[in-house]
Amino acid sequence: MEDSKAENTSRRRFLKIASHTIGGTLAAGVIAPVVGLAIHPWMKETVYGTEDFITIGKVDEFPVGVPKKMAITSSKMDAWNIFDGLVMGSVWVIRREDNSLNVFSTNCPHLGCGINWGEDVKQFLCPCHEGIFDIDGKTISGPSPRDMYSYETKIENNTILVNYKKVI
Amino acid sequence: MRKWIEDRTGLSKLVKVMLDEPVHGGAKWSYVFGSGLVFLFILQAVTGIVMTAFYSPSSTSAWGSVYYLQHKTSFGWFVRGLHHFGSSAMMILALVHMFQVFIFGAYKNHVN
Repeated sequence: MEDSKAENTSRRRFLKIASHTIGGTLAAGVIAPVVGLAIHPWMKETVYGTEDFITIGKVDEFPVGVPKKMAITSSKMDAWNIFDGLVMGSVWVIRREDNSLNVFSTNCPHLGCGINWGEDVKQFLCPCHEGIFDIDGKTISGPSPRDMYSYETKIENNTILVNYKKVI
Repeated sequence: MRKWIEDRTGLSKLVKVMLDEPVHGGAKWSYVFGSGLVFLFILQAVTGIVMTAFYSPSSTSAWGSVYYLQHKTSFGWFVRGLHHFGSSAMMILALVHMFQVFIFGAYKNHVN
């Protein structure tokens, strides 16, 4: 009697542990992926496209020695939403005879006003406080504490790419 | 901690009621369909609620959001699969459960 009771308890115990283990494993197999999906936006990067070099056009579109103002447009992908043609700002692009490039911010280093190219005087002119810069972006006169901001550029397959960052 | 949760939710009591349901005339495999349906219903509800967070119901972005869920998220394909096959399984289980109740006469008032 004692023996059969002990055997009964140990079998009951085994079946309990076994069924809980199998059931727990199956439940975890369902719960873990659901939780994984729910916390996905916290764990993984979901926005793409704002960090890289931005294309601003073909090299041939820019006349040699004459600054050309270009709008910087970018596209961003946030999960399944695609934002195309976002205007982020503008730059002055100067192509040299050896096809090297200078790309300057259109914002004055003084207070951020928009800098224009004065074709008649061949200088960059800031209208706010009469800041004047030469074609290399060097400060000639005016209140600007620095030369014009210059961006890192590269040319790939005859296309100009700019590492654009907002500076103001 | 366990007692703290238990005091506020009565969780283990609920689990006990659900797992230790007394069955007249002893347990049988043919009695699993009701519990199976409850499990599937909870599964459908939970997977559905989680997936709504990744769904955009508009004519332009509906397809894109499902593509994102299926291919770009962690386990999105698996959860969507559970929901997909779970819905079919629910229909089948509901029918089987109905027949089981009907054939066993489980709807009748029980007399000991």
